[in-house]
Amino acid sequence: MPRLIACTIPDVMPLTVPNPDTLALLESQLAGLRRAIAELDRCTLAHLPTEPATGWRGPARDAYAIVLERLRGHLIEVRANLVRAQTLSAAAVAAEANAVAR
Amino acid sequence: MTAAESHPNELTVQVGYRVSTEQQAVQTALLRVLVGELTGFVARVGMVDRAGTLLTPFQANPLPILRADAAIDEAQTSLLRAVNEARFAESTLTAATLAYAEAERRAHEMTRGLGGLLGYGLGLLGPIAVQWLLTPLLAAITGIGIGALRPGGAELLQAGAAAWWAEHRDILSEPLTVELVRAAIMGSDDALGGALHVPPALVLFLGDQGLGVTGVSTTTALLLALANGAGALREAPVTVTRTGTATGTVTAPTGLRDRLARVPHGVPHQVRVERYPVPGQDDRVEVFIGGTVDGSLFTGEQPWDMTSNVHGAAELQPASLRAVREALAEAGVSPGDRIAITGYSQGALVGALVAASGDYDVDFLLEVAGPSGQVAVPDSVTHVRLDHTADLVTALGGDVQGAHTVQVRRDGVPADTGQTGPGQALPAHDYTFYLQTAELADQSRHPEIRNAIEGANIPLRGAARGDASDWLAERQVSDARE
Repeated sequence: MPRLIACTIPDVMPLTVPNPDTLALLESQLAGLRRAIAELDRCTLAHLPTEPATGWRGPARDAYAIVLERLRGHLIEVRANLVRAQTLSAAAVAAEANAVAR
Repeated sequence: MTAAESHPNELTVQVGYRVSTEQQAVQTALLRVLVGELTGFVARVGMVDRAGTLLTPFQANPLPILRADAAIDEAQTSLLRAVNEARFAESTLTAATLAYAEAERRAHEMTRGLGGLLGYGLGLLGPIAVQWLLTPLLAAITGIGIGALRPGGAELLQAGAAAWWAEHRDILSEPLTVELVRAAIMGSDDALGGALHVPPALVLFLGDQGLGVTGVSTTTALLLALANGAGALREAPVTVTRTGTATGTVTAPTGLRDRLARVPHGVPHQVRVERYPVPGQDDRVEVFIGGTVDGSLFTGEQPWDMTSNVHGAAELQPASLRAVREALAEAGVSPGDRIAITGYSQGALVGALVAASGDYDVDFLLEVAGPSGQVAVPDSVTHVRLDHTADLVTALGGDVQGAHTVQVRRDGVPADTGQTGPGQALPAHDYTFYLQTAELADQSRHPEIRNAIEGANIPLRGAARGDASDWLAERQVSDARE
């Protein structure tokens, strides 16, 4: 009969090991997020219409204005999430860098 | 449905029944690019290196990176929603533009149908109406005549008429007036059919709503025959003389304003021909034709007059058209040479007739303020029309026939700068006002305008400095045709 080995989760959790490779991966993530935010800003600035066309009014214009406003809202949300991810990644990088330094 | 508002310097572009303001077209193009960019961006966010997340068990403080990972997931979700929304915005805008075009087409058909019926009714009942109106009209004229015979009466009458005209002349520059005149012109063949008691179904069948056998040109030709009988609007042979030459010094035109600025103004010449050598290709010829110089109804030496206008509207052989052909032959332009034509007012009508003749290889035509809507310009010609909605002259040519014609329209009349003269009857027809419009079109980002300008400029790419010749035409009035 096979022998059962009892163990608990704390038993298998490895100890924190400061590692320069982990730091490099976190820095890569941070750089990727910075690039993504810059790219989003460029794209929004260049191609998102600021307001519905002039010389046009009526229900179709109002519907378009609403859609445009929703689109702007979604893009703001995307940017806010990316900025949050960037801030958190920066914090992780700082913590890891401290650990490696110690 | 949408309604267009009048905005200074806003251009409206119509190709067939497809109408869009410049901003609508630009926004549609922007949204199309945005959808493409955001779709690519979804993949780029997905490629952000998240390997660090896998190593959280080994990190000093794993919490921030786990929360960052969740934030990236949320960003991706919002991004997908944004892509859908951008697609929806683009569809909304395209649908609105299409619906606008459909409404425009239906309104146009209804107006023309009603215009045709009204024209037929007027032609049928016109003689009775004239008799009915004649008696009070004669009484009014008699009263005015008696008033004029009194001491100082004629001056008073003249001053009164001048004051009335000063107060009401703006009516000629109302877009509604322009459209009514256009409808009347388009209904003129129906009115003629009514007057001749031709069955209405046959009039509609043969007219511009049906086979297009009869139309504006038919009516004009009949009126012309009547005028000729009364000794007016008779044509005569024409001669051309070279008044100026420039060899190897002229730079090729670019854009619409530059072309319009080269159009001559009757004195000392009415036609300009420029020829540019293009490496590896045949020479390119640019022809510039001016507008009406003489407004008299009686045939004179000046071929750019009303006689030529009416003969042109009847799609016959006006002296100005024959003069352009003569000038082209004298300048060494032969059938088969690639030609671009720019014409203002009567010059636009003549340019359209040259292009429609098929005798020359015309590949670009810029018509400015032309009474030439009914001239069938071939589809092979990149055809741009600059029209002001308040310009009555453009209405005299009827509806624009070409489904491929890029009509660039602008509302309003020029600001009173004193340059156009306070007594000018048709300020919206002013040449300098059209120069501004051409400049606005050059600056426009509307894809249809950009494509048309490219169509004009590409054949001149790499062209060396060219030769120019100016031509003055004169009608031989002693030979006026009987």
